[in-house]
Amino acid sequence: MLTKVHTGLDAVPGVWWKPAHRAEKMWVAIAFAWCMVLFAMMPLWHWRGGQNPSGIRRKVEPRAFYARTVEFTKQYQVGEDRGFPIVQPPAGSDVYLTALTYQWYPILQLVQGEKYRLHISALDVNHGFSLYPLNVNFQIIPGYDYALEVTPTASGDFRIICNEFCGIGHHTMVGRVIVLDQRGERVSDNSNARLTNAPGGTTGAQP
Amino acid sequence: MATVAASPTYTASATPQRSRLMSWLTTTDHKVIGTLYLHTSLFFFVLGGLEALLIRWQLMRPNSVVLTADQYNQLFTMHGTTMVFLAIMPLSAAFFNYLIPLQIGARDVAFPRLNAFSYWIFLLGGVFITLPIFFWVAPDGGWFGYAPLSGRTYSPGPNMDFWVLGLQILGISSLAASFNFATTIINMRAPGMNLMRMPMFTWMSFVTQFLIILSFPVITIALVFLQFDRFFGTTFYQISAGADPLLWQHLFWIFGHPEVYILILPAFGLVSEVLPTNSRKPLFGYPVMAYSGILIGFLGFGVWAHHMFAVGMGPIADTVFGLTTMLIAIPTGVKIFNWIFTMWGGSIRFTAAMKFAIALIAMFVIGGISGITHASPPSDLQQTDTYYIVAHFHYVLFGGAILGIFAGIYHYFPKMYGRTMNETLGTWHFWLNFIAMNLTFFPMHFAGMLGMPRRIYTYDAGQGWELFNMMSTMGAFLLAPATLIFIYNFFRSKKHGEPCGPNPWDAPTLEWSIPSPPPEYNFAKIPMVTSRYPLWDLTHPERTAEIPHTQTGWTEATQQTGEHDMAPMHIETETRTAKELGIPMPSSTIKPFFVALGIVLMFSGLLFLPKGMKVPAFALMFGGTAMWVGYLYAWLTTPLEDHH
Repeated sequence: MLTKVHTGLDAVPGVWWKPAHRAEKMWVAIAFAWCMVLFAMMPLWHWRGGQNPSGIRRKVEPRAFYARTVEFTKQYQVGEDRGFPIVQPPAGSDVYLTALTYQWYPILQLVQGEKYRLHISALDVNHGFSLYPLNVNFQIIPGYDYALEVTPTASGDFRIICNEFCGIGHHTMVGRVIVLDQRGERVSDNSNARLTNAPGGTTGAQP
Repeated sequence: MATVAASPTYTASATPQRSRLMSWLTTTDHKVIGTLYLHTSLFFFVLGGLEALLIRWQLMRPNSVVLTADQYNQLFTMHGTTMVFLAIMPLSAAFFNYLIPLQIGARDVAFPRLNAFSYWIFLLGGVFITLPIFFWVAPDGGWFGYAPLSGRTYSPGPNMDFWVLGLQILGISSLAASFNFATTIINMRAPGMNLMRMPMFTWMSFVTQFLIILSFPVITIALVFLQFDRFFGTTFYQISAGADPLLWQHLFWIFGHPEVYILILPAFGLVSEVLPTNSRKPLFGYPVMAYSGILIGFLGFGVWAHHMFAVGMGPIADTVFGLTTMLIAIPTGVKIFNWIFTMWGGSIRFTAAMKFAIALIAMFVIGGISGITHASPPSDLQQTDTYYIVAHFHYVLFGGAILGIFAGIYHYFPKMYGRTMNETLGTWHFWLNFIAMNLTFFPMHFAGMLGMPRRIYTYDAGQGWELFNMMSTMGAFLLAPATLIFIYNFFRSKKHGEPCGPNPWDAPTLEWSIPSPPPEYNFAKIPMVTSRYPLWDLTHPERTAEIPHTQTGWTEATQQTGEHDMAPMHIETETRTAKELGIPMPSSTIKPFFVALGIVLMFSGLLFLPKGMKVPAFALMFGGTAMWVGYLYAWLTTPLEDHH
């Protein structure tokens, strides 16, 4: 036999339903307004503040991307560091960087203040692109080309650290980006934290 | 309190001629299963802690070689997996088992044998996934096993096989248990125990069960895909065959984010029991506490992609998930303020449980606020996959879930064993634990902001990370003695703790109206409830005067069964056994154990397949399948109660 089901969701009489105090109403109004400001700040900061790099992500075949990187490396190679090619592409060109276990290929040599279109992708598993010591992070996924408009705003010798776990050699996966100063000369290795003309405090990725 | 006699006599008379091991293997009593869960998960908690100690030892100095990179990868994977699936979740399950029936005035859970099955498959699954670490063949792909790294191509060994299969086994346990508890809470409440009168722990558990029911199928699908990729050559995650590596990330985090609330909500519930009792005031804003729990659970399904801001989803998706993530701070903040207002103006008693509960509020706020910093995509891009994130989720899981569970253990130990835990040792445990956890996890914020990535085996000197790593390691080494004090206190108090009566804390809810430990049938007469705090109605009516009291549901209850206690709420002193009182109880059975064992054997068979060892593979798979199907058939055709 069916009986009445008690949901327990009857109205709750009690002190909680007293009308709100004036101070409470003001507090809620201020908090709400502040929430709206913060909500609006996020997209604004994204588009106008220039702090958050907006990548354009395209589908790509990992092997084809790697082949393109190798071709690009051959084209613009200017030197070598312990067997790794150093590549200096002309300003305004497309720059390719492939993450593979456990290396960043090739070493890039860019010029401060020039604009580049940087393409990053992975050949095998997920990797993480983290520019040390400036701490910009992207996840680099095989099959996706992460394209960034980049203008280096600081010169120096930077390290790329892989920050997405990629296997046994994860901690050894360190890449290198050399940024020459405006005269096209190398600055010493230890000056990589020296920022010149860097609005927002971030280098490497100004849209 | 000291004059109260120790355990009543029925506990001894209720176990006829069965050995202890056999009585555990065959039990269907939710209280015994609850304590089994408690002991097993404390064991896994200590194991996960030891793994963390090795990790911290390795990271103490730059370029350290305490472990090999391979061992390190296995340890951090197993530390995460153990703590999430084998320590915190089952610790919560221990309280679900022990407390939910007592708090709603029921004699057992809805499906007692399914409950035993949940425990056994959890234990066997836990052993299955943990055993390989002792032979250094443990999973090594991170606790979230991102594909394609976790696929056969990049993880060819048996390591990730254990992970894929082990998590599926543990998922069966969680799903079975969650259906059981949801049904229990919906169907088995005592007359008058309507939803808005349920103790807050039961409420939060209720929400948690739905989170499990809705999120575990997603991880099951993700794992089945991965399992088929690894064993049977499908290409769900194989990029050369055109798969999208983001599929795994989406599936994993659609499960993974609700999982975070599965871990924290039961602890919130426990704290919501400890605070009012020890402030001697009703919980502030009870309905809002319940609603905000529901809201956290609901919103928890709409935020998963904040784990993936760095994959380049684009500004629109990033903004939307940033907003939904920040929205969760609202119901969580409501809870924090309601706890503070519960204590406000109360007459606070600083028991060990209360100290842990108050510490949870403070530590969870730190974890919550650092969480809001990476709810915002621009700032998340600075933090993602660094030690800052590690700091954040340890404040939430250790400072939140574990502190809440410790509060729950100190608070409910007297109910489970009839003796209180030593308060002096509890205070030592609390302060050591509190200082050590902050020393361990707070410096991680700074290491992370300085760019230290997660999951690195070792690091070079000169990057500014040395001091913070040294501090974290010191803190971890301090957490070890704190936990030892707790373990010693726990086992010593079981035998030598001060005997206590049914209600040592003067708490208001139903579980404290019955003897400690409770008899097998819990309630000799099913109680009739008129308000949220039935025991305070008896002893401190002034505390509950403002809360509505009605007899909703009483008439129907008496018409249906006629066996209810129409007297006002009272403290029970019944010491006769269920048989003497004529209360039908579910009979003991070993079948759930063998069903669980059969399923685990069936899964273990798969381990031999990639090696081409067809004979053991098929023997185990078919043998295991025959075992669990056979025992399940026998289980389903045997009635629950043998004497009625």
